Amino acid sequence: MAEPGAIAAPIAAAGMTADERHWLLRRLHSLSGIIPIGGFLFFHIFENAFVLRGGTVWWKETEFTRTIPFQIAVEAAVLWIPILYHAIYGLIITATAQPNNYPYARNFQYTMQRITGVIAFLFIGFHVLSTRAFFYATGTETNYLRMHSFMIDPVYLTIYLIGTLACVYHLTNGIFTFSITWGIAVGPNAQRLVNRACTALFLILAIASVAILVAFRAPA
Amino acid sequence: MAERTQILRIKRQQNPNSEPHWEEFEIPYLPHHNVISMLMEIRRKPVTRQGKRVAPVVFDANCLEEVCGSCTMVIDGRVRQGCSQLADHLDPTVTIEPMSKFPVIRDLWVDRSKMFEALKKAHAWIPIDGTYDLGPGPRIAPDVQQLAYLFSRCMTCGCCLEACPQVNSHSKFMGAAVIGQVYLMSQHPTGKMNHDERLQAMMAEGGIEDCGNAQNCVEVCPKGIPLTTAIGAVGRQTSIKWLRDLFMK
Ligand code: SF4
Ligand code: SF4
Ligand code: FES
Repeated sequence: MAEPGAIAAPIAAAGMTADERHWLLRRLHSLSGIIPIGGFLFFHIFENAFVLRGGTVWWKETEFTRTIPFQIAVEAAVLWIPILYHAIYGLIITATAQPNNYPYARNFQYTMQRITGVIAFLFIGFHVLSTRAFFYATGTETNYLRMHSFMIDPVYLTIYLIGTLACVYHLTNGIFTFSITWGIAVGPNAQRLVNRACTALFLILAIASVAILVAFRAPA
Repeated sequence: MAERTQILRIKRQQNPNSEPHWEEFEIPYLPHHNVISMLMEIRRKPVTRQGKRVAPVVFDANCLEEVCGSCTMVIDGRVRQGCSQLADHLDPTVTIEPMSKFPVIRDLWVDRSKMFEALKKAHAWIPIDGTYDLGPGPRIAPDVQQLAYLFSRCMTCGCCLEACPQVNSHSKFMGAAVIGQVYLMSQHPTGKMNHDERLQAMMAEGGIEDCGNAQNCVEVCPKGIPLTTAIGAVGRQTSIKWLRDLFMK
């Protein structure tokens, strides 16, 4: 019998195979949805919740996010690149789907994950273009007045409500599928527990997001 | 009183390349009929409701007791075995189609060999003796035996592939059945010897990463095989293998 090393060495030397790349891209897609993107969404909801205590408090408390050293590099590394990767590779994965109408809750969640993913992609594009990209292009910060003017516009408000809820759904359901993909929740009881916890988390984040968006409607 | 009858709407296809078409048959109602026995009834008198004499409907069946998996078909939009689907549980009009995720050979008869190819790809068997007798293998603990028994009941019927949104013509995903078998082999002390090789197949394109966690597979499996547990467990095994290979190779 051949030595295992004699077989393994040339394979290792050949670099990454197409299959290994496929695996890595899929797992990176799964991971990037939680770290950093999911982590950022938690933080983003948390920081903006200060608006519930008024526009002035919100502006003051979020000051440090506008004065980060190497701002552009940090934003690119933590946000733009992971989000672009997650979104584009996510669309590639979505293209391999053929949703059906088998009447099970998980099947519905599977289809929703793909629909909310596409909505989230469009919404985040719109949101970033109208806030951060707008700032880099014009130097205008998205301060309370600007956000306020968005949120009192019913069209903007509707887009933001749909977009935010899609993001929150996509994240919380994604935490559930992440826990299966990586083998954290294996058995049916563990998976049911995680699924319930994720549903609860969805409700909490959804209520918080709606409250934040509505709070921006208060006059300055 | 008019005689009670059963109407069968059947999706038919002459050969693998021809276009499918629908035909309706009406047969006398008989208690305790199942879908296969109703198809046999049509075979006796292959005349459509319109009175046209046609070729009998071709279907695959063998065991007639839901253990071989060959009579799997889509009945009223849900995949299941024809032999264990009782007519008494169906509406007076029933729609029968071949599975959509496999090539149709003729009428309701499909070619499930891609499932067998997947088992070969994943090395889903346990090599025993070589050129000489290796002697008895290690004993297996009763609880492991019980777990393994659940997975050993897979009959490669294809229900889990048919209901899976990730198994389709534009995806290479092999489906849940083979993941269940890889998990089964990993529970066997002799089977463990080829475990790395099987995980390698699971980590390839078409393997476990292409699962989208819709979990229809576990819902439709007629054998109640805990497929999603296998998906979680093999997911964990591949995570560990990846980390181990990353830092130890
Ligand atoms: S796992 Fe279940 S549904 Fe899938 S092929 Fe085996 S018996 Fe059929
Ligand atoms: S969990 Fe869903 S996507 Fe994965 S194999 Fe089962 S049905 Fe297919
Ligand atoms: S004939 Fe074997 S499962 Fe139906």
